[in-house]
Amino acid sequence: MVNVLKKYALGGDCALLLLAIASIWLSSYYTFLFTSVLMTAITCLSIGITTERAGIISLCQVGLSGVGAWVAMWLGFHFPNMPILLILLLSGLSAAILGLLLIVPTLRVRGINLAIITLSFALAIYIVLTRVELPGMMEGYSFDRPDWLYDEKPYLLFVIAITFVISRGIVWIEQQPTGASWFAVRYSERAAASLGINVSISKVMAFVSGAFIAGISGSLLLMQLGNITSQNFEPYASLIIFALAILAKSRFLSGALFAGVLTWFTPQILSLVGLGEWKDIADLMFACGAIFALSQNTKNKVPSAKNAPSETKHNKAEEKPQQMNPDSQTPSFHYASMTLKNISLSYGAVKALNNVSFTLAPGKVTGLIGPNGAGKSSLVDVISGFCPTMSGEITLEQDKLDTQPAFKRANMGLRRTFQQGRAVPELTIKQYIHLASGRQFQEHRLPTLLNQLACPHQNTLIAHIDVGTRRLVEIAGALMSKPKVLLLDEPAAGMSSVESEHLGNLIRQIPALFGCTVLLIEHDMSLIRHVCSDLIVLEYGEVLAAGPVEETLNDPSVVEAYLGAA
Amino acid sequence: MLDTIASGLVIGAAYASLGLCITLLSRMGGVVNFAQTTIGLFGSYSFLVLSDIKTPLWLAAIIGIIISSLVGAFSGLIMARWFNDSDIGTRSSVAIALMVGFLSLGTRLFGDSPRQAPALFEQLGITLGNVNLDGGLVASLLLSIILAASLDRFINKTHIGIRLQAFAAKPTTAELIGIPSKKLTILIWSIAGGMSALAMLIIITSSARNANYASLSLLIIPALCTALIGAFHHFYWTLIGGLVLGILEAFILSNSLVAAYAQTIYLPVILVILLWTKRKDKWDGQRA
Repeated sequence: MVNVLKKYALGGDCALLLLAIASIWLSSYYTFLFTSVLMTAITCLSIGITTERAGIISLCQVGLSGVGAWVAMWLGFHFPNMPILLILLLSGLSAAILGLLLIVPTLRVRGINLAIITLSFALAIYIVLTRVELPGMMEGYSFDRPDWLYDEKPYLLFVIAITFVISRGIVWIEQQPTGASWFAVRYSERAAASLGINVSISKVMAFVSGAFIAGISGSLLLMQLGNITSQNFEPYASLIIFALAILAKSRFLSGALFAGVLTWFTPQILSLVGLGEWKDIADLMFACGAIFALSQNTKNKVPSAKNAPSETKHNKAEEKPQQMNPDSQTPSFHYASMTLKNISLSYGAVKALNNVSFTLAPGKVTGLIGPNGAGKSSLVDVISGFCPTMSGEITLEQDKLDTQPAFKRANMGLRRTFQQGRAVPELTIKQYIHLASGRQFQEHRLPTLLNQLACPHQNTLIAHIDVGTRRLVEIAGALMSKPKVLLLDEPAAGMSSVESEHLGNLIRQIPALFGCTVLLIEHDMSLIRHVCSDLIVLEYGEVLAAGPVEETLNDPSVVEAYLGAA
Repeated sequence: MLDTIASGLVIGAAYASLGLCITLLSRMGGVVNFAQTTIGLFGSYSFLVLSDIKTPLWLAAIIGIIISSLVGAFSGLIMARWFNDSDIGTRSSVAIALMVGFLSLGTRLFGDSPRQAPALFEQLGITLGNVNLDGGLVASLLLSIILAASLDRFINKTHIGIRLQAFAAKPTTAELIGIPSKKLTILIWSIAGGMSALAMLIIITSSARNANYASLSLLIIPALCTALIGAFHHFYWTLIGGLVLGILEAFILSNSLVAAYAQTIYLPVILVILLWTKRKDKWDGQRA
């Protein structure tokens, strides 16, 4: 039973159901208190989106609630007959619009700098709410709930329903590419763009969704109290909510509810145990809890590609991938070619790439090698669209790529993988591949694809698999998207020779099985010899040699570059 | 006009001093310390309590600075013990939690009612020609200029300062080459705590004598704004940023139409700085 609740993350929903049932017996005091718990939980859910999913540290969520409350009051005063759900929606939208106005110009600001902006934004909202007269204040106006919600108990049930809808809505979005993209953007913006995700839109969506939910919680607070003051929305409250959200892991409804219970019941418990005079130190306890939670997060951090757990290592070497005969089982493909013409890139005075030109042979695996610092990674970044200062032309079949942003290049059929392995740890393999392939995702193809690449079961969390397997999952995601050209950036780095050999077999089959042209960047010469038909050698940002593999490797200039002059 | 500039310089120099403490911790401890003003407030409010019971002001001030140093050292201990190898985002989130905790504790210990502060720096007032310079202004400017100059000299131009920067980049690696990173973390936090107490003392004895504990803690926002002007790196730019921000705020405060909204100025200033400095940061740091 507990496992089922955990598996489907239903703990919070069950708590809501229990609260709805228990509300029959609750006194009006506790009805009021639990309604407040839910409102705090809703604000924490908004932080669950912005901070825990999208990685945007937002310190203005309570301020945005204040905006929602102010708008709800204005609507209630000027349109007394407006339906309450419409008021909720419009107040949420108002906060969302304000959030949009803040986040759009600050898309290039990240991390702690964005936290500073949001904190000063919270202060600005607070000052404006303090100075600007509340709607109807001079007339002694107080927001009246409609008759069917007039009593506290129906209002508690109403807030329970709203909380349920919001939390289920978030869970639903999380299952969709939009929600999954928030995790991807938090993990690595470049990797997300390489999956065809518009990073800017993803960040805006996350912040605006969080603001919308915060706005709704503010209007619910107004509806509960009838009146508000700016003191309800001071910047300090945003900081406390942030600490609580960290402490309780408010990405989940159960965590958000726990945060709400902590907020409203800690002072009660302190009073009960005779420490009523000390109930104002609840915030200190939350702060200690948040620091403890952060220290635990540091200790049990979701493993990145660098520190994946060895005990959950997926043993690819023992698991033979399904072998397929390309000639008998796959249709004939139209293979695409990619041409680079006079590509140059400078970092200040340093020329990373100098007039690089080549054409990838359609339907082949072409290798790209070069000593460290030769410009391989810069070239991959240029092709992927991460170097706006580059010059030259890149064409994929007839399409001009060099003027397109990274995510559009991905959607036009150019996919890449990363050296460090950028499969998103918080997602399952299936969610990741769905995210990576977008509309090309075909669920019925997934088991076969995973089998071909010797990947674990589709429901395995990526955090639980080792570095090498994560790279395979990345390749699987790219292949599901039916790319025209696939760039593999050192996919065998850190693999054992047996694993590397398996990988080589897989890569060699990619053009025949999936109809795409491959550019393989590698240091492993045996892998290059095993897999590639053509080879390009870079040195000092220039093409040193290009042609069939053995011929190129025997080129005297290549021998000299690798072994030094005789 | 001169009065406005003078009052702007008092508060601006105090912002600069707080911003310099934040910059010091950013460079040496890899953290944006949101708790800087609340750490300083422990010392400055201890000073107020001690001055109420007739302790000599100079002694009360020294005890206050020592108390903030100890609170800073305690914060540094938390960082060194559990977050030595964490990224700046995690450490700064810890600093946010510390701010919440210290504010709660401070409000509990000292109350949230505005307190009258004695004039501490009256004797430092000087006359230049026909212009009388208030003691608070002299103290504030002296502190910020001495802090900026000494930190810049110490960190950029001494052997030990350069070693400390290496330690800040990778504390664990620094330990491997014999730098006692944990002790240094605590020391730097302690120094920043003491300095911020002095800055907060100047503020509450010069220009914000009636402010309450919670509103004083929000001075972290202009302090962060000042540190941003110096890109959390350059001490002299932080000093200049603080002075400019203080004067800007003083001019807004002198206009009765917009005076009530003076503190909203931090948001556009922060936005302008960050939009300019980050204009080329199309992607996050994760490359490969």
